Formats: sequence, C-alpha cells, structure tokens
Amino acid sequence: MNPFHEPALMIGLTLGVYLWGQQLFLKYRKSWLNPVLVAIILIAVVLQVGRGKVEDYLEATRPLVFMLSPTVICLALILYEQTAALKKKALAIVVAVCTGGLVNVVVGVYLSRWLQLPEPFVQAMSTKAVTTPIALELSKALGGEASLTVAFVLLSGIMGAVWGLPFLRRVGVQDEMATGLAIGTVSHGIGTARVQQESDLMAAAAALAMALNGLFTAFYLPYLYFWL
Amino acid sequence: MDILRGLFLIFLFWATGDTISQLARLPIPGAVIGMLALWVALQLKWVSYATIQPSAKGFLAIMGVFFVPPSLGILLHADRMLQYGWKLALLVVVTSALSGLTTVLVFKLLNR
Repeated sequence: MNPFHEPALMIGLTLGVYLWGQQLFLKYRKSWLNPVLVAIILIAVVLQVGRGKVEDYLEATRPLVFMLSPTVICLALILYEQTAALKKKALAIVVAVCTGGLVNVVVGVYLSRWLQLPEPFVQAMSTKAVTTPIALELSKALGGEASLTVAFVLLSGIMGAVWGLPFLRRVGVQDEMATGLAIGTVSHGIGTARVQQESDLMAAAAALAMALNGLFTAFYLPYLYFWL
Repeated sequence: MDILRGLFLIFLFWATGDTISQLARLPIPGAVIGMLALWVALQLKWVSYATIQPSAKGFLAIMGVFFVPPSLGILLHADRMLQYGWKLALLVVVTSALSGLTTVLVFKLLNR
C-alpha cells in the first residue's frame, strides 16, 4: 500500500496539521504561524521523510480541493452582512482595487523582464494576484504553463496572508476596510481566509477585492499582456 | 433541515454560475459568478440569510485548509523556482507590497 495515495489518510493528515497550525496561531498570535503555511511545511516534511510523491498526495486530496468552489459561493454571506458599509464606498473600492491590481501586473511584468526571467515566469507573474481558477483561464489565453501559474498564485497568496497584515500595520495603515481590500487584491482567497480571523468588515472587503480584481484582470489582461 | 437547504442553495448557485460561465464563454469561473449572484439574491430576499447561514459559516470557518493541497503543488516546480530564487522572492515581495500600498492609497485618497 502506498500511504500517500490513500485519500482518507492524506486528507486526515492535512486536516490534522492544519488544526494544529490553527491552535499554534491562536495560542501565540504570530503571523508566521499561519495554519496554511504550517500545514504546507509539515506535509512537505512528511513527504520528504516518507519518500512520498507530491503527485500522489495531490491526487489523494482532490476531494478536499473540490470544496473550494462552494466556499467561494459562501463568501456572498460575508459580503451581504457588510453590504451597507461597502455600498457607501463603492466607487473608492472599485477604483482602488483595480488600480492596485493593475500595478501588480504592470510592475510584475516589467521587473521580471528586466531581471531576465524566462517567459513562463513573466506570464505567471502577471496572473499571480488573481484567484486560482481565473489565473488558469488567463494562463490558457496567454499560452502559459498551467501548473507554474498556480504555483505563483499560491506563493503570492501565502506571502500576503502571512506578511500582509504585519506589513500594512508597520507602515501605519489602520483602516480595516483598506487593509482588507489590499489583502484581497494581492492574495485573493488565502488572504481572505486569513483576515476572517481579524474582523467581518476586513473579511468582506477582502472577499470583494478578490472578486473585483479577478473580474477586472480577466477582462483586460489578455489584451494588455501582448502590449506590455 | 436548514443545513440541507443551505447546502442545496450553495450548490445551486455554484451550478448556475458554472452554467453562465460556460454558456457565455466567460473567463470568470462559475464559483465567482455564483458568489456575486448569491449576494444579489440575498439582497433581494430571494434567499433568506438565516437558511444559508449555518452551512455557509461551516465552509468559511475552514476555508484555509482547502488551499493546502494545491499549495504543495509548488514543490513540483521547486527546482526551477530555486534556480531563480532571490529574483523570484524579490519580485513577489516588491510587486505585492506596491500593489497593496497602491490599493490603500487610492482608497484613502478617494475617501477624503
């Protein structure tokens, strides 16, 4: 039996290490004790020590990843709870998120070309701030590499989820809505999952920013990319 | 009963979003369309908040765990990524910080 190919075992392991990561976070309140990050590191260690194949683990945990889509639907609830607050600042929210997203794409593409990264990396850099399914669609349109695209999306998400809040606080940002918008724009779902532990308003702003940045990027990137 | 009703609605909106996304050949995934549709439906009171709340809160509470397996996919590219190690790290940090700060600044400017 290959334990790394057993759904029950691998999903159980994932839930277990995540739970432990969450307990560590709640106990010590350190940003780097992000449960997603803790779980990734521990599972990577288990795979390394047990000589398991990442491919087997990914195959075994597919049912867990399937749950991501219904969860995105559920974000509507957080948006609904904060509709009044969001409506009041609708214009500022839309413009801020779209500008922030555009900066990420343009600076990312130019900087990575300047650092002479190969084209698949440049392309992955341009879609890294949008939620995974949108990034995959865009990757197809740009002729990029699907799995590298996903790797960058998740890297960007984890970075933002772990260091987004401490960074914004360090530079003096206190407004909860602004913080949520920035984190949702940069680190989509993973950031949104993180700020749910801060406040409902921050989570709603992040969820909305994720959706807006995804929608906006999906519409302009296929045209803009070839022009950059 | 409410859990079942909530789950039914969640999947109904997902399916609706998927159908719209595919029929209109949009680059937007069905789940994102479904989320926006459910937000509108809640606003218009087509769907009651109380019905969907118990199931939805359950999904949201464990949202982060669903990102763990795909994140391990990064390991498949570890060799290639390490080849450009510091450049990639620098790029992701700089662009993310600039993008986040731009969002905050524009939001604050327009809110004055």
